[in-house]
Amino acid sequence: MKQAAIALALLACFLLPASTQEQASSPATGFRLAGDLTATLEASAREALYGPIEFGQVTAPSALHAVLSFARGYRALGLLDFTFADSNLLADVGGVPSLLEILSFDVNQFYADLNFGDLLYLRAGKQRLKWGAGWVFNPSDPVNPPKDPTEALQTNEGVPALKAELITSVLSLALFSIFYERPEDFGFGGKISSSALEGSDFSLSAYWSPAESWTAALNLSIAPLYFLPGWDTIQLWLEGGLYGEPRYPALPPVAAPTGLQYSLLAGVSATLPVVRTALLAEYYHLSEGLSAGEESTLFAELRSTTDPTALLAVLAQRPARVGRDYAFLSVTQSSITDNGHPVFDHIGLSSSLLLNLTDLSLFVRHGISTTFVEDSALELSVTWAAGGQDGEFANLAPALSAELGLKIYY
Amino acid sequence: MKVILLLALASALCLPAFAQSFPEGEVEAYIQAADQLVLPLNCKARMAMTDTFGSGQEKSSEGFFIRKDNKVVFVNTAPASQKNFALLRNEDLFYQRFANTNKVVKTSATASSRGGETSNLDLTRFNTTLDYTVAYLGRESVEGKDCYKFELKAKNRKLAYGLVHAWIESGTKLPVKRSYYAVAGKELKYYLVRSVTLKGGRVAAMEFLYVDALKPDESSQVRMFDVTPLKNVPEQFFTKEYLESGRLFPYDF
Repeated sequence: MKQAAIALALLACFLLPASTQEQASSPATGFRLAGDLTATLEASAREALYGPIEFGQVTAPSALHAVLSFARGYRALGLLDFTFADSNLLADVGGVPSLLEILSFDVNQFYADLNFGDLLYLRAGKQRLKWGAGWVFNPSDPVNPPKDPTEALQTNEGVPALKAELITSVLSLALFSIFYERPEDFGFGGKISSSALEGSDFSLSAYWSPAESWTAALNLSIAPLYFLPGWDTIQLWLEGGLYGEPRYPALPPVAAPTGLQYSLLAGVSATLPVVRTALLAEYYHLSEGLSAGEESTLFAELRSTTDPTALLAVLAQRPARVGRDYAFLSVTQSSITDNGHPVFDHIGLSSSLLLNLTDLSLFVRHGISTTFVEDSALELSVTWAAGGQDGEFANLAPALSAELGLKIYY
Repeated sequence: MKVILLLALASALCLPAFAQSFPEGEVEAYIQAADQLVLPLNCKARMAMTDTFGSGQEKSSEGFFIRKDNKVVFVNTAPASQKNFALLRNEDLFYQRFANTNKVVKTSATASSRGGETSNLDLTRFNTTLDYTVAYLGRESVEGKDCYKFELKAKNRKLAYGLVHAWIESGTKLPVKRSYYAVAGKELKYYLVRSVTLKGGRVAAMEFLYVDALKPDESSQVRMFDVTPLKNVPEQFFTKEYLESGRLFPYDF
């Protein structure tokens, strides 16, 4: 089954150039493909600074990430988003160094769209359900796999779901159900959103499943100085969530929290006039996050245990969500110049800093991208983590890593 | 002192006599009719743009837009790296959807989200009298055409350039030129209409050349074509929620 899915997905990619050429000559009502294809190579330092992570001697892990959106004319039909990864691991098998090749194929999203009278929309399949206003994180999101800011390749993995959406000019209503293997685990949720109040967007969401707690979330974004030219790009947003009980499994030996929990995110962004530098800052707080003392206990346990696999698996479910308070800062210059300069016009720069305010460990990423050929981009990003021995990122992220990606748009 | 007062009073009384009277009736109604000759209130059209920079480099892009009175959504269809970029004007609010993601954010009216010399306003403002108060300034010959010249003053600085001069060909009601000025009175840019194709008494295609008045070697050529009136356009196409859903706009072009 998996091999068939791989074959189908790769076939779609190989047929892509033929499809796009045909599109140029055929009427616009024909079948259309659009999306991007990213091939990446990654290299990491072997271990985290203090960490329990045992990085294998992986030689140039590589991945192919593709997004294919399907349409007939300008009518959306669906989307396929998948990642095909390959890594070679030098392993010691019975005292003999051996090369193990690990292949993986993950369908991140695969859904079909239906449109009833340009008013009611159905989306069925594995999809990412839009939940929060947060840019980098959606701490109140109970449904989608969490975004991991320490991973170079963000896959935007979704969940198998059926969503019905009624979009009107004043109010939009979305109802969805998430499917799991056992029907008794199915989750149900809804969202009401509106931009009717001038200068603001808000949404109220709720989710419940028998296997998890209920969740309620409020999202609000405003542009407070939208009436002032030059200041009108300043935007503020707020994301807040309430849960009937803790969402994350316990991290022994730290005692698990009990009762009502909450998360809160506040963000601000602005684009500088003329130079068009985009600035973004976010702060978030998790009531389920550990205190500095609890983090210290947790990482001492990780260092001392002989088999940290189980604990690492639990930690993997909460990337950048171990502590209580975090700050994120980002500066992006999509083009150094915007004046047609033959070199600098094609170079973009970005830097971001994620700081765990509870333990003061930090995770930094710098990126540079350039375009040699139209509709392609070459991106190099370098990340490093720092912090004391009780710091989240110093324990759970590689001390240094680099990723080179080639993106082709079609 | 009395002499000064008398002179001031006399000049105020004489003012209407100096002001130009518009030969075609009410100025605002004329501008609205001229706007609708270019674009019907409900319509769809395609656009092709080429930005030329001082270095001689050029960037091209294509897209389409859908209009429902004062609501406009513009979507890029080429180059591939810019597919899915969308600019939405819902009355006085502007939103931008980033290319290749469905992330939607508010944006500024006077910024140029797609780059080049065309601002977000230029791509989405088709109803002049909504954003400007209009006054007739007289007749002038521009590009060899006999034109009426109008002065457009911004009703709301957030949504418009402080001052605009517009030239409309007297015989055809078609635009010939517009000059955009900063509040301080400095000319920022202008556009010239390079060609017009009429079909069935209305514009089917039109080509504009936007020129940076401060850097005249930087320009954007905008070709609007396949202009097609639509009977009805759903309101929800002009909402942030629709843009975020990542759906396209179900029209054939």
